[in-house]
Amino acid sequence: MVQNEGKNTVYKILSLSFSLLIIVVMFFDIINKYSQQNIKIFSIESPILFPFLLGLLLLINFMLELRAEIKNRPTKAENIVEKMGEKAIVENKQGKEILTILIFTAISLIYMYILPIFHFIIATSIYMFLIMFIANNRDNILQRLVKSAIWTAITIPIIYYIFYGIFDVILP
Amino acid sequence: MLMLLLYNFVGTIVGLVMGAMPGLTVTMTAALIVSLTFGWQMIEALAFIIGAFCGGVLGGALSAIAINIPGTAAAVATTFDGFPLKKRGEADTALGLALFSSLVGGLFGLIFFLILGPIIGKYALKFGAQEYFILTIWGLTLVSLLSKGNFRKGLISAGIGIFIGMIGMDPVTGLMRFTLNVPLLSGGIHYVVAMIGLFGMKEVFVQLTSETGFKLDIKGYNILKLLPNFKLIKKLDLKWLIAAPLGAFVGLLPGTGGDIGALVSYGTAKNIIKKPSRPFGEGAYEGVIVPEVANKAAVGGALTTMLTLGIPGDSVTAVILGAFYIHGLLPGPTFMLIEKDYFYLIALFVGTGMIFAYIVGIFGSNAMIKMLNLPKWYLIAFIPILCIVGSYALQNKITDILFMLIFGVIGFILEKSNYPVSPIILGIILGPMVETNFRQGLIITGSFQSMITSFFTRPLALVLLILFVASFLLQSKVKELEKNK
Repeated sequence: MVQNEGKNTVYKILSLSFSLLIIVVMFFDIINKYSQQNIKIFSIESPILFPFLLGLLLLINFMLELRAEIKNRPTKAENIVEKMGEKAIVENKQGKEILTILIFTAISLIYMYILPIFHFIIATSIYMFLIMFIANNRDNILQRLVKSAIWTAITIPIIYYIFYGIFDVILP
Repeated sequence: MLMLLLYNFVGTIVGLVMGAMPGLTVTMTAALIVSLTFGWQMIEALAFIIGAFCGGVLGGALSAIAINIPGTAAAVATTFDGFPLKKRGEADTALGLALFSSLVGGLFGLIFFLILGPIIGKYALKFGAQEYFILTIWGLTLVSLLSKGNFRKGLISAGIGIFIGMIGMDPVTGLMRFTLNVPLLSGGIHYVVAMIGLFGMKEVFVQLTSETGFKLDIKGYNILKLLPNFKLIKKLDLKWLIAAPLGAFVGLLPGTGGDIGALVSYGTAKNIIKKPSRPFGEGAYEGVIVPEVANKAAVGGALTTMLTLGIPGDSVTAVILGAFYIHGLLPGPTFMLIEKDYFYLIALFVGTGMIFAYIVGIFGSNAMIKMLNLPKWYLIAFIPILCIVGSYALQNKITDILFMLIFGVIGFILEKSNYPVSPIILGIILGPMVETNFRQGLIITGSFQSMITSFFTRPLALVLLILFVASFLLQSKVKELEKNK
């Protein structure tokens, strides 16, 4: 599943930033509780002792991981060569992937908001049609339109029956 | 009872289909089913979920043999010889052997579960906070160590999982932690929502951005050839039987499951079977039988640990453990005392699930091959709807969909940077257990130093500590095997 393991620079930066964000949130909350609510950290009954130790463990691992990533980054000479060739292709690919994920997430968020307004059948039909249309990159536009419409028309009643009839799920 | 078996049967079919599809993991299936069966009667939900678990683990072998892509992590070792066998024109024999050995392994795992469950349950009653603390930490570190990526990344993932589990109210003091005064976070994040995002939506993102496809060149299987070929099995070196106890034992270890069990057994079989039908890796029959026996036997082992100690064996059992909590069942040391009937009921569902999976595996294999041919864009549109409805169905809250999407994006980014996702789930489930036992241990012993000392003075804690160290030594063997392949 993982492609270009060693070259997923954008994802690595995002992962490290996410880890750092969690560490910052943890220590911010712990310090806040310690200073404003007078809750001791180093007491055997403290509710913030375990989070503090976990935060420390995460911080140490984060630092080690950051050091390893810095050590593994390409040298200046490699960078110049890569900038012109493979690296540019990989970065372009990562950019495309991120754009795809952003579009998909945006459509899903819109679906989430229109779900209570248009209710399950209409909202899900629109959503499914759009996703199929975007994800199918093998056919031409007309084929994509027709196939997406047919598959949506077949699938939605089945999904509705499965959720509502079999699983007794309360649909929005 | 007949209705319950029907639920079990349908669950098995769902599990088999999802397990056979590359990209649709058993963990994801379990997470989705848990959310959708939320409103069901507990026993019906159990029958369905366990059926899906049994079917899912078996389904992985189908795509492993047909297209060299394991449908589940547990079927990774099956590809080593399963696909070469198919390439030699023996796809029917390979799948027939995989199905039969799955049944053998599954039933062995069940016997293991029935014998060892009550014994471990008896000892588990003697476990104190210190023993539980070691066990839960063991589970978390082992899964971090054995999952793909490196140990450090695994630990970071587990830490992130524990952090997510801590958001909301502290169960002991009622203090709000890590909510940043956001009302939406005050109730915490439902672990099933996180699971659906991390395993379901993440997989959609992975598939959406993946350009890899597969070519299916099998038109169908000859059903008669899928039936057990005892003539062939008799000819084989019986040492393959070692895979059953080995797989069950590995499944028993906290944090390890069928994937590790299959790899360890494959490596062991490679060493002890001196004259295989063909060299391992080139289509040896033993190379298909051993991992399949082991990963199904591991189901029994993982369930034993989960029910008697309340500790999930792997990410799938972590999801199932979550399902038990939702339905009011509390696996743990008192389970065998209070919920003995459920223990045997679960054993029954595992047994029937394995048998159903075998039968459906034989007669439904051709239908599943057709499903492997479904266009990717169809699945990409279908799965998010399951994820969205699944996360909404839990509490009927639209915000849960938002959380699920966020977890999907986080899971995708982490996986792309080679961080394992399974430790996050184990962190979410085991985190509260680790913290509770850590705090209880501190209060009982009075100080941090006394707690550490008690690990060496309490016999059971010491035994667990030794096993903890031993499992770390075992992992180096597994890593070696993974590197060799």
